[in-house]
Amino acid sequence: MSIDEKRRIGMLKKSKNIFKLDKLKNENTKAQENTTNSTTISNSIEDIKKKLNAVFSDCSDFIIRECILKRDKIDLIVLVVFIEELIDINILNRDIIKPISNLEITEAGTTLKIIKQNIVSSSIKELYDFNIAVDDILSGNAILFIDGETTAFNLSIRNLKGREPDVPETEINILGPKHSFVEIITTNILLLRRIVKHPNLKVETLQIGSITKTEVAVIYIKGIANERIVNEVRTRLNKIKTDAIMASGYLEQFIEDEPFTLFPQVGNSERPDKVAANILEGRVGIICDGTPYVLTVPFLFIEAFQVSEDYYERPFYSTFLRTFRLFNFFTAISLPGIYVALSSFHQNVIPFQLMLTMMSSREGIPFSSFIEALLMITTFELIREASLRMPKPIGQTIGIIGAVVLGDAAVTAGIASAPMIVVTAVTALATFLAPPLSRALTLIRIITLIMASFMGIYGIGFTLVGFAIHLCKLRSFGVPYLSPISPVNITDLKDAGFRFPLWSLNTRPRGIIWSNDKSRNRIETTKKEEDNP
Amino acid sequence: MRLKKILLISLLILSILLQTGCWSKTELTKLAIVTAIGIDINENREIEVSLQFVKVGEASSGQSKGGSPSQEKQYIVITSKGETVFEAVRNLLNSVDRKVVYSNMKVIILGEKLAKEGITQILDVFERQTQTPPTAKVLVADGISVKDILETESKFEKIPAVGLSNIEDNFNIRSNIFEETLIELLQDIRTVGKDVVLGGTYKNKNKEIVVEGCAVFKGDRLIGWLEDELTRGFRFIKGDIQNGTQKLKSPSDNKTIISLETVNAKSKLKIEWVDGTPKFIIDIQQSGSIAEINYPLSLNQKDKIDVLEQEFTRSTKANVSKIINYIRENKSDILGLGNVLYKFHYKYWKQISNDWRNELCKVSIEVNVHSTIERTGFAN
Repeated sequence: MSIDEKRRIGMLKKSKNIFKLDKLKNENTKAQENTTNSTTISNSIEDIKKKLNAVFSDCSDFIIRECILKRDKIDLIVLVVFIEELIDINILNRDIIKPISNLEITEAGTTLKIIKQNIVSSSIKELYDFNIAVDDILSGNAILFIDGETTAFNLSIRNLKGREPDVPETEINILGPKHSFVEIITTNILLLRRIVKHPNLKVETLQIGSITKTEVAVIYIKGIANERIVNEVRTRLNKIKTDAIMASGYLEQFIEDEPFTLFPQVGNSERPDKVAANILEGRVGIICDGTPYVLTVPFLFIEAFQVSEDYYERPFYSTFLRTFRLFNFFTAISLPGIYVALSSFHQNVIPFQLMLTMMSSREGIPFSSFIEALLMITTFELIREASLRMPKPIGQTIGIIGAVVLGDAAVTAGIASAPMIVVTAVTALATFLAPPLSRALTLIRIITLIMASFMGIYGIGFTLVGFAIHLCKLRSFGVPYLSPISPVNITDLKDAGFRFPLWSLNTRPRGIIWSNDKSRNRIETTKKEEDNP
Repeated sequence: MRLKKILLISLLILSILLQTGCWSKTELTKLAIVTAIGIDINENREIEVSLQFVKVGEASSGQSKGGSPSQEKQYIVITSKGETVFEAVRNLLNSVDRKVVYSNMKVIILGEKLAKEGITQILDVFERQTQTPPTAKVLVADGISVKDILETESKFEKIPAVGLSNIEDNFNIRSNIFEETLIELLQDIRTVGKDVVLGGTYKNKNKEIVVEGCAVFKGDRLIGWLEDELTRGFRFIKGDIQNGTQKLKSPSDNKTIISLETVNAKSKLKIEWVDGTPKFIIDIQQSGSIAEINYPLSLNQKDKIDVLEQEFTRSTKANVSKIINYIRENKSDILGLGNVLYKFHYKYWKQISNDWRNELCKVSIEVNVHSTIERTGFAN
């Protein structure tokens, strides 16, 4: 048994213990909540009315509709409680209120049964707890309280109006499907279900945020995703203690492994096809209500260079693009640094003619090349940020101004040299070839630049080695961040720098599923004991 | 704990920055780049060093943008004197307002007078200091002062040294140019049983700088020049011609002149022992193609080509034997025959090494040439 394996097993044991502890904790807290906060539904309708009005006082959109039924010729009051815009009024009127008004119940003790039978709704649940009922009202359900009963009905007739799935805005491709996630969680789940038609696609929903009670769904394929990772996701999500979740970015920051790093450890995408492919590889998706971006964990470094379009066309050009993106990753990090290092430390390695060009362009420029580079990089960031924050119609103008400032004007004014502008422009473009890393790249580039201005090419070397060590140490949900490059995994490398033909990509990434059984055509139907040697 | 760790690491990193203090940092615009150095001896027996510097104009200023190149000279030549090369250069530095960088030196030009007195005295400085690139080409000025060469403008290049270096680079396709780099010179001058040959340069009647022929040394002193044809012969023996031109006269009548392009020439040097004395055999394999014939001459039959091939052989052989005669007359072993003996027949070399230069006149050298004419062109 190799050292690596031993270490991995050790880690597993540790994490297993942590899981156990967490489960215990969760159960304890749940039990406590049940005993303290549980309130049964009173059988007096007046009581319920009073209580509801107390909870929802000063809420003008809160509506209590009274329906009157007949039971043994006596009036029976039924309350339909909901919040106006959260539910679909048409369905409520047509399928619920109309069928049950004027209903007559003759036999005693069959009230619930008869009401349930007459309501035309596909989703109807029985409720016994008043607090849960309040929560359900807030998340867009209609609740039916019946006089004299301690059971209420939860009717799911949510108003699902929202943005339609549209063309993706950030992850554009030519050959793939052209729709993206939206803000509504159910639509997003639906989009995934449409792609993965298998009962093992599991969706677990939970609410996070003590005030916003944001709905969050954990979505994975049972039998493919590693149980431990799924458990870890559950635990980490359950551990979040915050009042509000505004977007999936909140979740990302709460559940990432290492908060003090420039590199993202949670992936996100607005493309259903990409998320589905990730889930099929054994990753776990996290959908957050209100955000059209779905998170996927674990996130590996190499994913930043994989674009879904790579798989939609033949492998040759995809492979070229992959390696090109990887190469440009280094360009984006180190090109300004290399330029500064060469022009202020290692002039003797510049080819003579190039040196003449560089010299003549730098002649008469009042700044050192480092200051010049810093100036140009900050100018670029300025333009980028301005055009992002500006209202769309003005954004165009910024682009033109930026082109002029970064381009001709800076040179003719004698503030920057032409090669420096080329370097800045190339670097800026290279940054956007790996969108998930683009934020990190900008910062690393400045660090490299500073180091280069102090120590020349050694500085760049130190920085790159430093970041390489850091990346080797990083983990995302227990999976080594640099996998499959380090630790090396030959079969997984088929889909790293190279993109092998699809028929040869017949295994799932071992780094993610952590199992020896990784054939793509199999899905574990029965839950196997976790194979811990 | 974690905070402490981060603080400690960042402190360590910051201290690295303080330690180095960017000591070797110089901006490009603060450099004076030497492209050529010329060394000679003047009348007062002082060493005179001329350095050619690049002087680039502002490309960023608006004027030069219109597309018309500025007429300003892009180089300057500064000369100074001293007892040694190093001293002369040092005397010069006080008048240069930038940091002098030698790493882009293209050519080293030795004055004729210096070459005649011996070049060992000035080579030491190139061996000791590492800034000079070993690939710099060494040329000897033929009847012209080194300063003059450095100051004459090149035809196409803005910097004369680059122009000279580019002409030298043509030695692959011009068989009358000889190329020797600094590192080769430093090796050759130490090699036992071999004399140095350097490329030559002179100013022709049209006041153009020409790189052609080579300078022959005996020991470290210049003894003479190989002209155009002889250089070609010398390079045939060295066997490094890849491309060159040759003129043949048709054997049938003397009017027809045939220009041949030598495609490839290779040579082998062998030693045979005859009665205890070595006999050098030089085998030359050459092939050529016909570039131009100034008189209608049909080459349809094979025997006509055979005749041409024989003429090709004869011409090269004549050329090569001129070189061998030259060697014998001047007692300069530019072919490195002594070195072959030194390497492979050391016992014999020990006996004759003291008197090798005289022995060189007596030793028998046989030249075999095999020629082929591969292409005759499209014309019939």
